[in-house]
Amino acid sequence: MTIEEFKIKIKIRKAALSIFLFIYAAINIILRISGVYEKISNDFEKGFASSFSLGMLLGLAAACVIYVFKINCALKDEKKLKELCNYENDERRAMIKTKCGAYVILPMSLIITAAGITSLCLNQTVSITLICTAVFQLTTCCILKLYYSKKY
Amino acid sequence: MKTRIPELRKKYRLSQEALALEVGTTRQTITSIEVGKYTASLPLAYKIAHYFGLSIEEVFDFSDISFSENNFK
Repeated sequence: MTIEEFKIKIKIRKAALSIFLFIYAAINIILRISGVYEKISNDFEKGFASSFSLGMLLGLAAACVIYVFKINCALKDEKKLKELCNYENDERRAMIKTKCGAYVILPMSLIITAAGITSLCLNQTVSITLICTAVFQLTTCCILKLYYSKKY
Repeated sequence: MKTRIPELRKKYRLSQEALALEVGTTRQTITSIEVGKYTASLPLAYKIAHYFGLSIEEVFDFSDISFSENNFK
């Protein structure tokens, strides 16, 4: 991949993340103003559901803000852009990610967590099991990644 | 696999980071190749060798790879 192609790719990524952050902020403001959070927080299960989803979305939003900042820095500096391009297309990193199953585990964990949050309103045991599964998968993936990073 | 990358880097006064930037990889990958933990792919080996103006065999030592006697000549 050439630098120009990578530049277009990260510009698209930045736009997508900015749209996500904008939608997240807009929904949050609307829910705060309408008082939905206060209404559902009275019930323990629904309170847990709202708190967990709020915390997770807040974490995702924070990660997006950091990544957008990183992309902005890279777009201003040619050297940083090349470093970022090399880092994302590094064959050793790709091999480690393949070996620890990150390409499958990360999207799967995200789907399982989303299912867990959705099922919080229906069955607490099922949802907590799903969330624990996602956390376990991510922990295993991290441990394997550390192991293969040391090995290779 | 043994390589001549550290020797060539010293000769051309090049840091691992600078070499990594030139050949399109990361410093960690260059370190792993140098210590023999990771075997570079053919395109990366070619890029490294081409950067120093040498052939792949001149940069990477393939003497520890055994070949079968029935291979084509």
